[in-house]
Amino acid sequence: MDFFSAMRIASTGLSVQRTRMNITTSNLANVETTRTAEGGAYQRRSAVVAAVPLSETFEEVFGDELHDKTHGAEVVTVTADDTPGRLVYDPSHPDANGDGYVEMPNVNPITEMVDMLTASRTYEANVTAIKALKGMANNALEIGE
Amino acid sequence: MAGPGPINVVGLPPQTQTTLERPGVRIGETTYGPMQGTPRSAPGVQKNFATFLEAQLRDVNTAHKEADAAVSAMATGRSHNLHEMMIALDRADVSLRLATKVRNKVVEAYQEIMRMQI
Repeated sequence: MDFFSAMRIASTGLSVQRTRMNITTSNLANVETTRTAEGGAYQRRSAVVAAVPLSETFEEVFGDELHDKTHGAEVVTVTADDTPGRLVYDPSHPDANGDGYVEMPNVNPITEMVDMLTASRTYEANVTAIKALKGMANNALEIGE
Repeated sequence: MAGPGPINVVGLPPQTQTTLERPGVRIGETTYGPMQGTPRSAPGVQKNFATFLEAQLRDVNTAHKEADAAVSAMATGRSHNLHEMMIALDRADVSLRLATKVRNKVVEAYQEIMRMQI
């Protein structure tokens, strides 16, 4: 377990938060989308994150127990939320149903803003971890002076 | 304070007392070799410093090549991992710093010996 493995773990965190940001942006962009390739209104997407062990080499897996206890993060799948969206009465809309109601996406812009904030702050936290690690490594190199 | 014999670290319960002895430094239950990250050689097989230095310099070189590849991948649009590029650069930076420190230490030791009166 060296400085660079910790940096690798932080790097997976950065990747996850970037992906979350992509998903949130997609949700926000599609807040009014009533037509999708799957048919119907856009469904809110969210990321499923899993902890993955970062041991790579045989030596790491076999020799160092610490590696089994530290995990990186990874977005394993993106799920669509299938709760029905709100119905808006608009008979002139091309996607209106027989009763004149249009199903809007189940995206709540406020929730998305909060998600965006969390993703961006968590990204910052991971960057801070990397900076701290780099500072530690540089401090260690100053021991001999 | 510690009496005669091995050096005891103050503040630890007796059963986890750390003793410093050769070869290697024993901390708790784990025995650390002279340098972490080097391949553990079989007992009795002594690796010389030149071999170690060469291996470490090769690592530094690899780190720089990786950083170079990451930067060019980023610049040509093949990669979108901005943070991975920055981490590769950091890694190369820290490795080079370490190599420079080792070089300085070696030169220092050499000069110390050359200053010796005969």
